Amino acid sequence: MSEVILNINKIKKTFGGFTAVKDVDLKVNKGEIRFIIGPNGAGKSTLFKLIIGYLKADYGDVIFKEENLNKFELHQRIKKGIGLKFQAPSVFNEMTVLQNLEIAANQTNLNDYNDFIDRFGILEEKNILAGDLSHGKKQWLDIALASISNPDLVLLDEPTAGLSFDETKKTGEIIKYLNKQGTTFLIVEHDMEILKQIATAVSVLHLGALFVEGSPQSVLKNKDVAKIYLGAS
Amino acid sequence: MVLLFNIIFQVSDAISFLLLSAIGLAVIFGMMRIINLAHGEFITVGAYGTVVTAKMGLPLPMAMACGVLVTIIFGFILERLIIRYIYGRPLDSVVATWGISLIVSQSFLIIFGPSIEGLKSPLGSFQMGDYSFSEYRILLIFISFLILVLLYFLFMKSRFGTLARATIEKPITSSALGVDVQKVYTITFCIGAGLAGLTGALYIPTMTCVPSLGQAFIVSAFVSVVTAGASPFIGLVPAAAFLGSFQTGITFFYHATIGLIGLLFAVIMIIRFLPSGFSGLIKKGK
Repeated sequence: MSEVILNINKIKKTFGGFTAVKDVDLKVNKGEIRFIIGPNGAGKSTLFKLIIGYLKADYGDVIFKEENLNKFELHQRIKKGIGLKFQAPSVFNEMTVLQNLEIAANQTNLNDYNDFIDRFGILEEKNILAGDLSHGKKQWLDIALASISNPDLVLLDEPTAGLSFDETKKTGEIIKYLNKQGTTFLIVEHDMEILKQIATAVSVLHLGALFVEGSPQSVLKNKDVAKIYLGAS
Repeated sequence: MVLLFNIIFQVSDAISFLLLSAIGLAVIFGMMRIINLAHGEFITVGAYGTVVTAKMGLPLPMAMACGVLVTIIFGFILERLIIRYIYGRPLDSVVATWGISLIVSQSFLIIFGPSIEGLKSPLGSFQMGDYSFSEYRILLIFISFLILVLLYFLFMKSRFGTLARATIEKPITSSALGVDVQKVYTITFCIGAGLAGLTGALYIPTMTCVPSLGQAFIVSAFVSVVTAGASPFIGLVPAAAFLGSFQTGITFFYHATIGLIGLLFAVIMIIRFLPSGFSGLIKKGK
């Protein structure tokens, strides 16, 4: 039986009278690349924010490596072995690529990290300002920031947003490489190409609730998913 | 020769006054974007801390260190009670720090009265021609540049500086990388408070010790930091050099009041034609 690294237990979030996330149970096994998909308004981003502690749940638990994270703030959750990338590239534009990585790695000498940085296609740019990178390279730098401290679990919110087909493919290769090194991924995504490329498990949200979950093949073949996600009749 | 030395002395003295006025504000306003109208009172706390401990018998350098320490503690308490709730709210920070300014200056008036006996200026003076020069003020010129160099290395070259700049630029991203944002804010604010206290401690031997003494620094501090631009530790020296030279030049030929008007006119022109300040100009030139 696979080891569960992240266990979302009956989590609920309401905004006024609107229920954004409704009693969601979700398990992420160690070594997985699990995607959370769903149509707009499904509650994906809210669930993401509940996991990282950016939003406070009405009730429910976020358990990471058998420890309840509810009482911990964002930076404390990160210290427990979680990497995080928001939807829009959140790099420090006024600092060099290397300085960005130094902050994330919590150390100043990154001479041994050249191979790691090269994996993200940003080695040649390591001494230029992050603000001068292309959108694609900013996304890769952002993933590098989330994973440089070797976390057990990396959460990515739409890592391919605004990327070309080739850039999306390379992003998939980067994630697959990190996964082979032992990192588990939980990814909120719209793009079906990267899902087909790297997903090992998929959870579908609909109207704030968990609709269906399973292997990528079974979920993509599911007619009910096609109905709610693609709007097919 | 004597006249030239006198001009160099006057200009350097004006520049160091602008620099020392601005160093604490460069951190709290220039970096953290807190419009700190209580900056003058931070300076006052440092000055009174120095005078009171010196009167208790401590040697002047130790008394100055105590003045700085008292201001750091004062800044820490304020940050915990008020400032931490107004990060990212610049207009609210104006009202809050203005209130703090009034409370602190009136408290000093109630506790210490309209003035207390000040300190004698340390070191002596020397004569050149018809002019007499204070050795302590020459020392202040060197100290002001030394402090600025140290601050540059602290905030631009050290790991803490990188963390502080990152946290202030993007607090949520920093938090997402495991940085304890609140802790970085508190430490940075205390450094700014301590620097303002240091200004008070350094200048009090040359001033009368009154509750409103900080007001003498507030205009110089704000004009220096505003004209320095977005990167105060890069823009502060050229800003102070330009403003100090300009003000001293006009004062030398006309009058101190005309010099102050000239300074404010220069600031308006800089804001008009160099909206990103001297640091923006330097960055553009690179």
